[in-house]
Amino acid sequence: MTRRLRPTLVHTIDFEDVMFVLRRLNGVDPSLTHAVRINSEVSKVQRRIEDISKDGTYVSVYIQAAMLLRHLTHYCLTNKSDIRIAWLLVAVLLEVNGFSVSHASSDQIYEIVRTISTADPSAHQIADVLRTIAESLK
Amino acid sequence: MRVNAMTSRYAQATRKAMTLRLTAGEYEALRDRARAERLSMQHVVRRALRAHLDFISHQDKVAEATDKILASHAEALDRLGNDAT
Repeated sequence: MTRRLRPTLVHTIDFEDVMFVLRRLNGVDPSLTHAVRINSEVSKVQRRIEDISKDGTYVSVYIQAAMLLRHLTHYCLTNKSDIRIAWLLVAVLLEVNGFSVSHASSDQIYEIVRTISTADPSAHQIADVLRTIAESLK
Repeated sequence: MRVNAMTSRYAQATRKAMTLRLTAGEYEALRDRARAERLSMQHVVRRALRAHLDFISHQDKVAEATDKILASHAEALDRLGNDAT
């Protein structure tokens, strides 16, 4: 019998979600190509997390969110894409799974994304920041 | 085991019956799917209903979270957007 004692992500981000979030962010229907590319990057991270988890390694919710934020931020920078989608998708992912980050200040959020794009901290370092924000409400 | 049996009896007792009216095409599609999977038509309908409700519930959560983040982090998102231009 397996017991799940640690919190995990129940909801993941899929193509419909990416389309929806892009539409809300820009106020217009996103280009299909752009949405497919963003979703493809999200899927890459989700597959990597599944691979890591296969041998029983526990990947915390914050590490998963940090991996996604780091990957999307670098993807957006490399491809001159709108970097706002990186934070928005990660924040939505955390929110729908019950880990609220909406109370963080705009300065905090801006600093996190700028630091990732300039100093390239590890996923663990980013996860610590996300955990501190989410758990500061409890 | 005893708890499971009691839970199952409770679930049976609390189930609600309803009439479902389908078009001929929908009925045939449902019957074919149920036959293919060797399940009852009722099972297939209930499974589809649960999947649909989960899907809608997920969409609602994403919509609510997106609006919440867009409102609370509007300034950060603006600054990030301006940096790129």
